[in-house]
Amino acid sequence: MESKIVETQQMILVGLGFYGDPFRLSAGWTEENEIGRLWNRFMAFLSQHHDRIKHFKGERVAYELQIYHEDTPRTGEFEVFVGVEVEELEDLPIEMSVKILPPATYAVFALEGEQIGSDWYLMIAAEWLPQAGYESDHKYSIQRYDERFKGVENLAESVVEVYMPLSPRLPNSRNHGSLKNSEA
Amino acid sequence: MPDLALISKAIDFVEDNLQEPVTVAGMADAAGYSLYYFCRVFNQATHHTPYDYLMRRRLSETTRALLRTDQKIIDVALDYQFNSPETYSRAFKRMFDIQPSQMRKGGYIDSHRLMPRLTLAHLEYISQGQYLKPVLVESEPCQLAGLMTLVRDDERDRLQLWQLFAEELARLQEQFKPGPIYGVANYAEGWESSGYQYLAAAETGGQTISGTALVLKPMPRLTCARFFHKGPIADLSLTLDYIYHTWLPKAGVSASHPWVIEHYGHDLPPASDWQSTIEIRIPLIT
Repeated sequence: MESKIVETQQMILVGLGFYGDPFRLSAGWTEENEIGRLWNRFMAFLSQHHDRIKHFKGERVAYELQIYHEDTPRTGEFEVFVGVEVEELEDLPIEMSVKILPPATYAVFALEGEQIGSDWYLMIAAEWLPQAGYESDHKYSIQRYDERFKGVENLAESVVEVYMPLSPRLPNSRNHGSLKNSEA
Repeated sequence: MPDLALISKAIDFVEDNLQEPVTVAGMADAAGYSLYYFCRVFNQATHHTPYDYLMRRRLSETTRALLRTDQKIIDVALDYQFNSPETYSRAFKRMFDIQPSQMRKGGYIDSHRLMPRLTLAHLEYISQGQYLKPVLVESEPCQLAGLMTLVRDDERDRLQLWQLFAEELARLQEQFKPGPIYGVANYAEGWESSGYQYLAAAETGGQTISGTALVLKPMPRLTCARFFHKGPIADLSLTLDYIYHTWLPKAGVSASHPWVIEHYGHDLPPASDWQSTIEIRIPLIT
């Protein structure tokens, strides 16, 4: 899995949210669960009212946030937010909500084909991050969808980027390559 | 497809910790999945959210405790991690439609409504999926005539009854309407200890039937959810568990009668080989 570390400035996302267990209705990789329904609602709004969202930053890129609240570990319910990035907020339609992401350092992974439907979160949080000497605060993660995503019916040909926010690097950590030697 | 053995580990973890402060994150850890992925695959495998399953299992066990012991309601609630009597009563009423105190005072909860622990057999059965999407069917009032028995042993008692009914049907053929054959199970209050009534029957043309052993049963107009059970009759409980614990609550509907109606078309149920597909109808409140 391809990865890189990136630093971002503050990001302003405009979109729609859902809180709960999104798979209550249906758990397949279809548009029939709450995440699919959320995307459908948002894309319908975008196509009908494209001009009502101002200062788009980059067309054809959309984000899905998974936000873990305090009660998430107990109930398995979490927030899902889908939206687009804007440069600044102006005359925002009442139907839209806003997320402001602070400047942050992310580990970015390109998920391809079958990886999209796999337990990539575990692979990143439980394997990649600790091996690379990083920690995640597990408060949220971002999926970035651009023209390389071909729809839920075509996952095999699609690419999705995952942004995992990093806590400051552990003081005594070593880099990825030397980890094996240091353990031996 | 989710790995059912791993989902089973999460279910084992729930069973071992019904009285402990279990979280969905803990269930995910037991299965070895991330929380997000676990929520998805648990739903795929069981058709319940992990939290809903945990709550239904806890509530069902509290019901058993209330029926079997003299423990105070609040103590039972606290034992099973409900942090206040109010939270407990609300959750209990949502699942069983009565308050725990009403049930204690002689109310009745059909044990079909107590969520069983889902076994690997349940998960494998759900994953086959053929019977999971019922259609609604309406039926006109009619009169059934047939033979009735009290069933304690599913396979033996029912097989015997169908053999006897086949003889009656052959003898009195002209008095029955050509049409579907029915097996109607009536889970009347207390069936758990005494067995359930089972009627093997066919529709009469409305005239009196002369066989002395025959029972007449008028059937009202019904709206039913129609499912198909695949496999041996001994596994019928897998289908019924799915209907009562997963499909009915999810669809937001309740059964109008404690009946499970088997609908056999024009043929009698196969006498020797029970590895068949059985059409099952559950009457609904509309």
